[in-house]
Amino acid sequence: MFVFIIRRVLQTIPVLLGVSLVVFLIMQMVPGDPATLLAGEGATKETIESLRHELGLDRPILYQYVDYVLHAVQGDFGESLRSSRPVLDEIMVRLPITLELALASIFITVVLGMIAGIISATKQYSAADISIMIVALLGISLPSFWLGLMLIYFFSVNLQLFPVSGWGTFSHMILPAITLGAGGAAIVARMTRSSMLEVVRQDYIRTARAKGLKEHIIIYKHGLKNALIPVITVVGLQFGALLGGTVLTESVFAINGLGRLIVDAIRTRDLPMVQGGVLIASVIFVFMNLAVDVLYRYFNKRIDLN
Amino acid sequence: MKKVDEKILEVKNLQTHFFTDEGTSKAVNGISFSLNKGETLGIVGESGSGKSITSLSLLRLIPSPPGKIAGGSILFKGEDLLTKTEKQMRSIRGNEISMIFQEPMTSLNPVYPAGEQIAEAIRLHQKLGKRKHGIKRLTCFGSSASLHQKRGQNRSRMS
Repeated sequence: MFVFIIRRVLQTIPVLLGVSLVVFLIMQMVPGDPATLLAGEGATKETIESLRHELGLDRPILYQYVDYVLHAVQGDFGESLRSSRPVLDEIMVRLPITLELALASIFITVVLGMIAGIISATKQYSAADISIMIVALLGISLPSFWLGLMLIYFFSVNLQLFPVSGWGTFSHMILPAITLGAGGAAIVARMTRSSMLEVVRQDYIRTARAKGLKEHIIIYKHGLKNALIPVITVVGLQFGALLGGTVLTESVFAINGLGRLIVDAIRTRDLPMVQGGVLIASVIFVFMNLAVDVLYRYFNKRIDLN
Repeated sequence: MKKVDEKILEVKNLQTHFFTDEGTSKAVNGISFSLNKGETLGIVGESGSGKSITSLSLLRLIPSPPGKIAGGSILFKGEDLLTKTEKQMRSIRGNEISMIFQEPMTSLNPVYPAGEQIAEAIRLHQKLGKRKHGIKRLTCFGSSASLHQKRGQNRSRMS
């Protein structure tokens, strides 16, 4: 297990290099020159040129990239073009907020999704099953920004139960977490249902029944642990989608998290900020996948990690 | 000749049918047999002749739907198992009537150690503490290992 984790951590290096290269190239290709934006309207050509030189933007792209990577591995992601503060400092202020939001959402995704899926599977074709599957279908189909706006409209504006925007207290978390977690919960519910239905038809479930075990022990002890194996994969993938989703959700609810930081940075062509933000998000995603693989092994001893 | 009251199991005209969209399949169609205390009875037949379904019917483990015990009676110690509640059946399964399934690779749960699964039935009905009983018989080839870790020979010895 230890060797496996070490090897996987080493494997993340090429992945992160690839991510940094892709982000770097994309930011090179988007129209708009950071120096022009920074210099403001009416700036002379000379001012812009000297600014470009100052920022190192006039150097060859390859040189810029290697230089960036060499600094990044030492934890130096450069300075924000807008605020002139180190990128890493700005990210570290925003990151806890986004992680909080992501964890609250993943909680909703996992708990709500699994409970709904188990109810659906154990009461197949019942009214509860059909209603859960209809809600799940809606959950997958609704775009999160629309769901967020509707939740704000009904629960914050009309019923005044939750704050409209911002972050800080528990009641601030509820609507954004639902917005972000709903799609995932719907996918997890469908996945749990089909996986559970497949498992309860297995021979070892019949064996468990033949032992005289109670139905809930059969479902939760013998069924669930087997049924969860494909569900874990989906949850792991959902976490990646979740990090992407924070960008929208944070914008809708005006939360000052990492997602919003990246969006603002893209709008102002703040290259070092975008690169740093995306890279940090990728690191989190890669390590989440590692956690999923380790969980896999825990749930299913048949999976050989080596 | 044994006395009538020594009969431990008596199956009379048992009918187990499967109701599917393609029609009704009469998997067991009127089987009758009886078993006295201390006796061993072997049921022999070609595949699909209803041996397994008969045995599963005795424990009321026929998947329903589509399966259903359509008629007959199963007298165990003089009481009809078909009239028992699900709770009463649970105290009989694995306790008074046990079934050992073939194919250990699919009949045992892949995520739990094999010994633990065998001990589970004994623990359940005899209210024993964890890992006290039953496992001893398996220790000769390692009870804590999962089934997939065993070689073929040990797998079949387990079943």
